[in-house]
Amino acid sequence: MLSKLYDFIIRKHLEILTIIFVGVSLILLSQTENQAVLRVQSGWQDVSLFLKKPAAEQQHKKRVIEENKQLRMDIFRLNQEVARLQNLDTENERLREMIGFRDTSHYDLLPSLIVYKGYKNRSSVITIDKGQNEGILADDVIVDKEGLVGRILSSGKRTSIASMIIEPDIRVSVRINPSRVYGILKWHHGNTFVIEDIPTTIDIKPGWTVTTSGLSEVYPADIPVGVITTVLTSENGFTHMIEGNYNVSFKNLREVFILSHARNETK
Amino acid sequence: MLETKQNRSFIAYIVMSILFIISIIFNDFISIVGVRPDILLIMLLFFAFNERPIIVIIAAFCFGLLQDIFLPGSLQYWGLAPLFKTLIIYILLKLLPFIERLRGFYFLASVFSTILIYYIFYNLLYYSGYVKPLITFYRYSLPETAYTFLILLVLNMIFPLHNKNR
Repeated sequence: MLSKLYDFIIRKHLEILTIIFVGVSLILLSQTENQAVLRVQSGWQDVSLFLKKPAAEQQHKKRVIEENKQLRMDIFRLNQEVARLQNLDTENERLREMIGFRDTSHYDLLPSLIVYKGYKNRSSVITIDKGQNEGILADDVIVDKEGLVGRILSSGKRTSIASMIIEPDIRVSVRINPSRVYGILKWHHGNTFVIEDIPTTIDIKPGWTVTTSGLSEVYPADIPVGVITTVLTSENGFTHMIEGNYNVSFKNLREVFILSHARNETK
Repeated sequence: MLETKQNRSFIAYIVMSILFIISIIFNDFISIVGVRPDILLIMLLFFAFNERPIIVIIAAFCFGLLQDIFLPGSLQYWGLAPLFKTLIIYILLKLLPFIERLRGFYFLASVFSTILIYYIFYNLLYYSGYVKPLITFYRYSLPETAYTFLILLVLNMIFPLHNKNR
């Protein structure tokens, strides 16, 4: 009996190995955000940073030169805007003090360079050049000047792996402004998102903005996410099917800001 | 003679390992309009024609894992590379007696088809839900196959995949 089993294993060893490997692969496929894999990936990103960073910086440099031209033009316009806003800020501070409103909009942002943008196009995983040494931990939020980008999945000593919100599995608790209606946002395709299950009794219009709601433990309130482009009625007739565009151009991201929970709490 | 053949294989594996490390570090630089070659698949094809089947199938799974760890793309799809690399190499090993009899163009066409089939299934799942299958085919599978095959052709001139097809 044992010799037959032994013969069978010897004869079919290739098939047996293939079945085992396919099984393990399928188990891996079912393990989203596997911490063991994330730790290995973080370790590798730490080790390879010294080679990846110069390459990423070189690529970034070309882009920076182009952006610099545009930014010089913007500076003049923004200086005018700043002067106007300073007046408004003073007035706002005075009014806030009057109503005892707590200012929650000042976050300590840490700039960071993207050193790896995923194996393929449309990848939602990125690696950035800041890690535990800078106080970055899992679930810290990543933003761009345009708005929300994603969150840190795992942080190594000098690098961190982050997931962008253009992942099919990711949901973000958001608020639609100015109606202040709460909803759950999920990625649709390309640079678009969808918000479902908002009752049709609530008026929603294209052009309205979407920001984080602050109801989530990860994302703080009032981070811009996108703009509504289409408001449809879903098949059941009771809810809206809201489509919109993200503010952030995920494809062209080269650098991001990290909104570290630990740093902001210390602050 | 045997020693020379072993030495050539050894050098070929070292060259491909270096290429793989370069492709990990300079992932963005080696891409042509977003299309990147799969060096590990090329290495597996060399393994398939030169090593014992059991080593090749273990290498297919391990290389798939390496790809998912060092070149992560999407959270959802960890395990996709080992799955398809294992399956395509298993099928290739089963068809190897027939492929080894082929010469010249037909041999290379069979290798091209192997790479294409791998990319078709891999990309079909990777982009499922947000890119139409036909667009996935001509936007990703076909260019990635062509790029990978081109590198394989260059390597094949220096280190032939199969001795009879030198």
